[in-house]
Amino acid sequence: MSPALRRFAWWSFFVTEAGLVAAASAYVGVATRDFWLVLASAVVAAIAYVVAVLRTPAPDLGEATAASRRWFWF
Amino acid sequence: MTRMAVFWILIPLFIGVLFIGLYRNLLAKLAVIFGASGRFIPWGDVDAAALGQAYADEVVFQRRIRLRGRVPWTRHILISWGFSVLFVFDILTALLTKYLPSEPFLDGNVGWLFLKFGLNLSGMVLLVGLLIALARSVTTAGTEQARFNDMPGTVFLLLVVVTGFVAQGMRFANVPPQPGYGWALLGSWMGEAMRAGAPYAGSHAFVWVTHALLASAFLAYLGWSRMIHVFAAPLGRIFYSQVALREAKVRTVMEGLLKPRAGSR
Repeated sequence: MSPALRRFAWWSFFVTEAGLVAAASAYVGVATRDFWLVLASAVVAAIAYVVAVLRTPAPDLGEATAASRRWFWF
Repeated sequence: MTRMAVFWILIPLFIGVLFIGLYRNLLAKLAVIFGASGRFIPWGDVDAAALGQAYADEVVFQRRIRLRGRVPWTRHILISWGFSVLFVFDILTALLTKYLPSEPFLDGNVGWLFLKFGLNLSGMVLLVGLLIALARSVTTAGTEQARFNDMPGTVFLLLVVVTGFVAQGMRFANVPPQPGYGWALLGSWMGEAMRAGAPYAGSHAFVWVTHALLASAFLAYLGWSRMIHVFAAPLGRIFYSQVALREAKVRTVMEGLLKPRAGSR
């Protein structure tokens, strides 16, 4: 994967999760019990995402284009 | 703990599942296809007119689906536009009634009625599209036409929409009727139809939470099912609208075909 695409994968995830925590804290408050639960949820999601990114094998071209045909991307 | 707090605690997890699905099933594969297509092209070389045309054709008017017939196109455009506009109104409603509440957006006022109108109209458009999709899935099952059907996705989204309307109907049934509530269209009509069973206390809370969980789970489901085409199809079309990338891909494929294979003479 090109460095630009990899950076996009990381940044888009972390900016979205940070945005969600910020939006949630506007509703549940900061440093409240619910806030810590929201934060814990975001941390679990982040750990799962990091593991998924690091453990996802790069497909070969045939596999990638087969997926695009199967799901009607193009 | 309030219902909204439960929703906010779960949403980072659901969105995380969506991102994992998008990474594994879309981005990792797109990266390989990008690689085969000569990687990125400099911003200066992007053909903006072709890109805009591809976006209009694929996302706005969905001309490719129109080629498959009037019914598939109507179904798809009702679902995609209904879903997109509903999503925008959902965000606006949360923002204007929960986070930045002001006088016009208080219950029953003009801004609030506008939001309810937008939510219900787009929800009704989505509902009609889903009912057409469901009918088509049943009537074309086992035929060549069924190739593009997505029964699980249709049923899942239908459950989200129906629970949303039922929750809203219960909410309207719980309060005295007001003339302006008619702007809430189906939500208000369902409220009147359900008024005999009011008040709905525990059942309203249950249906609301069910709707919120289903809607969040549907977002997660997008990355792991045929619904991934919501992201992938426009990306693919926009990608291949660029002549440089299209030609690079053809060149790479041709070079690959011309390479002698291991074991061949």
